[in-house]
Amino acid sequence: MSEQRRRWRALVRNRTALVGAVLSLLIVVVAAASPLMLLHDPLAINGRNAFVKPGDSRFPLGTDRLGRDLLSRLLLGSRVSVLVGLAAPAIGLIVGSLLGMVAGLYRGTILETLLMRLVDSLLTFPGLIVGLVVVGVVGGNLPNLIFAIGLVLVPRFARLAYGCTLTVRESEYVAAARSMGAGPWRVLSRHIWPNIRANILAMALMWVAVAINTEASLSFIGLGIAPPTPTWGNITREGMSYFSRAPWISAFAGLAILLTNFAFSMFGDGLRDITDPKTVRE
Amino acid sequence: MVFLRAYIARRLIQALPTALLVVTLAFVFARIIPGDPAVAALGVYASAEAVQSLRARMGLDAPLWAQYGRYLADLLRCDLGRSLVSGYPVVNQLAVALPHTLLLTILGMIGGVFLGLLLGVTAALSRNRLWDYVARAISFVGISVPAFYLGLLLMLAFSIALRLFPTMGAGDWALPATVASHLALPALTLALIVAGYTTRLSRSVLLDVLGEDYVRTAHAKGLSRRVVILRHAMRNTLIPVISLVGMYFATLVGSSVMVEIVFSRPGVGRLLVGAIMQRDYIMLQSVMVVYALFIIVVNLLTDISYGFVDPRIRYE
Repeated sequence: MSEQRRRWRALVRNRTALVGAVLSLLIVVVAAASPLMLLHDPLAINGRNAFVKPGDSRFPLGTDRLGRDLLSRLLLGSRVSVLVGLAAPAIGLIVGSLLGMVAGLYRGTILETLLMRLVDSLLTFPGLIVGLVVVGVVGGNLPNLIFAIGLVLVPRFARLAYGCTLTVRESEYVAAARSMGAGPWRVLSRHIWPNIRANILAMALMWVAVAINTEASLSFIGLGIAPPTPTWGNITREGMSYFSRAPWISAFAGLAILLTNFAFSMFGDGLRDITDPKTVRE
Repeated sequence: MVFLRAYIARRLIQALPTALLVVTLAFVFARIIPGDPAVAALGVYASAEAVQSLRARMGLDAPLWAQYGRYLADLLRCDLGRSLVSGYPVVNQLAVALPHTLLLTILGMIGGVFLGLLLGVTAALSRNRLWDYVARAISFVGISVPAFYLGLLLMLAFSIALRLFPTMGAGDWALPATVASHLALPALTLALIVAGYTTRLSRSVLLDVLGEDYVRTAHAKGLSRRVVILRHAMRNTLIPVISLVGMYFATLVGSSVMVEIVFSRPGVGRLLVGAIMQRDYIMLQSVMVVYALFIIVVNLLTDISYGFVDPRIRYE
């Protein structure tokens, strides 16, 4: 059986991974199709419908202070979360893995020391605080958010790729490739990357949840995408202002974040079990 | 003891370059921010002469390396400058805010580790039974939930519905009871998040350890289950848990910012967000240094506590 077939069957057999994968896919599809699924205009203000409680026949999840339909707002808000959640880890993965692999390959040189020292001191700052500072400086529009959160993830991916590279670089096939005159780029792309990518991809899925959390936190503070464009974070923030009167607004918006995090974490967690040879024997 | 002391000294020396790099990064961060701090302080309608004289007083007309040297010298004297917004020395504002943040994060950390160990050990000892599933479910929620959302939910349940705790502020130091009641929910929020990670790790490590030969030997010697678990298995479970604490402390500090905002606590997190919103570069730079040093110190302490828990490390 080919390696790919074996992995595929392992994925189907691992319930956590399978449920996570299906849920994650569903969320991405809903986010992509959300403009087609709206019951109401998420921005339409109608004072007569203010603070409708959840369970209403027209507004299943209720409305906010301005009479806007919460379900429609949450559906449209999913686009920002999913987009940032996928794009930021992608940036982190590409830049961070490259840095980590280069540092690992050039072990014992000044390049390794410099890169890893920088990575370690960046990791000393909490990711959320780096995100806050960067977004506070460049402004909280969508490309900036993706850039800032991608930047938060770069040192994490670099650390991971560095560790993985160190275990792979001593193997015989790398020595063989080098002895046959393969250059550093060829060693990286043909021999190191294919052997570490499964680990890195599994962690990337776990960090989707971190990216979504960070975006939501920035929005919640008021540094993310500005209203009236709905995001899960800024809906939670707005709901806070009348929390004792209409707690469902913040509660449902936060629940959307939590469920999305669940889905991607389960997917990543399950995938890590599959790719980690240590868990195979269980 | 001699080995332990040498070990601590070595770790201290190793932490110095990291601290210097971090302090330098905060300086660079604050300098790459677009806009002139003097203009930010005086407003856009200030005259060019006024801006120029403030720049001179703030030392901003000096070359960058000279500014950096002065910044380091000031840091060593614990002089962090004056806030561009309030005009008060940053040190005074930090002295008011920092105790609230320290209390919150340390209590959240310790509470979370205890809760997590309790849940993790319970889960491992009742593998695939009810308590295992309960502990794993709690741990999964703790890992996935955004800090601000967990805080909101706890506030909804315990402050708004049950009216047990206040919703905002931090209480008065003169009245310890108010400090405690204001601290309860924010600290619980952080503790549940820490417990999420600790439960998962301690469960899987303990399961591994229980399969080790020395545990079987201990059982075979006729030691009671209690002694085997507490004396032999737990000690080896603690080491990875301590290293996790060190690794996740930075994340925890990030969460503390969100918790402080949800519960309107007058901590360092509020200074940070205020500094960003008002472009107070001096305050921002200092707050970043304080956070980073706090994290370095905690990492150092976790490194040192390894030495106590695991004698092998002292002799490396």
